[in-house]
Amino acid sequence: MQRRYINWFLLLSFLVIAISCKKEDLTTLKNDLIKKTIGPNIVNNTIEFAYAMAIPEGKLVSAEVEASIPGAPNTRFGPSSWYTDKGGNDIPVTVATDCLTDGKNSNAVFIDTCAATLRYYYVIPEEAREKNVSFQFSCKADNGEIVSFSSPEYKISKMDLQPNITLTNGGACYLSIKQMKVFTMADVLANNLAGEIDLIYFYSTIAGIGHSLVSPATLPDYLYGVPVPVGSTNSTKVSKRRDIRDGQLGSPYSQFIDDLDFETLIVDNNEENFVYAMANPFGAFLFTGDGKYKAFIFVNSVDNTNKKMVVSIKRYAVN
Amino acid sequence: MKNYIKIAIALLAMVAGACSYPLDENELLITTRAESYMTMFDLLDEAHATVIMGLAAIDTITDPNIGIVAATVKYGTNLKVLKPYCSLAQDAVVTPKMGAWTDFSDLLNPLTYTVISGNREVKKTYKIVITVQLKP
Repeated sequence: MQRRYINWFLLLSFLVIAISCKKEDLTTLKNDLIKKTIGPNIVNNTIEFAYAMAIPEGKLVSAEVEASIPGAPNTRFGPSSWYTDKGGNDIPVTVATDCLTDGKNSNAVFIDTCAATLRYYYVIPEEAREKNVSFQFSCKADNGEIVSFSSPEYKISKMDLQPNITLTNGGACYLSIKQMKVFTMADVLANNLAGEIDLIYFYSTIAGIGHSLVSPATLPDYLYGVPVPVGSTNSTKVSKRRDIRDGQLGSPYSQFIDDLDFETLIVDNNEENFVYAMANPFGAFLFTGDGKYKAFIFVNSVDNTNKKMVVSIKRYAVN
Repeated sequence: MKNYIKIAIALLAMVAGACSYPLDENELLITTRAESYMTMFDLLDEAHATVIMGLAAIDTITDPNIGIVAATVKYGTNLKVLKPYCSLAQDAVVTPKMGAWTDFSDLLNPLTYTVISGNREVKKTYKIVITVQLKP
């Protein structure tokens, strides 16, 4: 009886080993895909994919991708395959020519290779805002084989991103959240932008003031003599923060402000319309006086000598 | 063997003793301590940075039941959104609770906080008097 159980056990063990050792089919064309870009997908920014293809015998002919929504200009396959060297650096090797994009379709024609990992750069167009996009990748080998890979759907954010805006004391210091740009007083007057100025930057050597942002409607006592353009009356509510991290704005973290954060954000009338002593890694949530935009402004760097501050902004249109 | 039993009984007695204090409505222990005083007070802004210049002065001399916390906050501080916190005598509690965003902007009517001793029988009320730094 005992011997019978042992025999059964041995038989089952052999079966398990036989199944687990089954060889993967390496004779056919294979492909795989990873999305390299992390964080929210924002209009005018790029989603980067790595599309890998290989065939054990023969050569790759071409790769193609069809996006559900045509990408903005500069959407394309890169011509290089990439590998990582011993130092952890990504090294490109040119493997393709004729990387063309026409509407929804981008393709690359290989020169002479049996395995490659191409990068595909999808520049998010305005028409994709708040919609889902997906991608159908495919690869063709010289023996006629074709394989494909369907990506999941990716939600495109409602918010906008504007990195690295340089504010200069007494120069380009008039910031418009609507335009996501900074202007000089001459620009404001020449282009009749007074009504669009939401914050004014200045630098003071006074302790506790430093690099500051004030609204045009801030009480004169808090303006420290900053010239306000005639006709500028906006009062932008400002909530200074230190604990907000966003990798797309320049924080060294893979954490991000998303649409949901702005949807649930409350910047109410309890907030002041100015903020003093800004520096990296401080930031501030904003709510424009006209009620049209919520935003987060992150301080990338400050320069006391040249009286400058570099900021990056995420902006969310309310309604 | 007898020693083990004695140790076990002693441990049980300690546990029973430790659990003998009643709990208040917030499930904090009501102990025998009668001290009710504040040893430190601070105010944080929305960036979780202190807005008090130097340290808040805590007056405990004038009256055994009334104290005054005097603090000068930085010029430009938004007094409507500040988070108070403090240190207390052992086992004491403070009411209303601190650690929440609080409006301190009515400088003529300072907010008050009451420290209640561990035995919940001795109270001391602190008035938070805030002065804003003159424009630098």
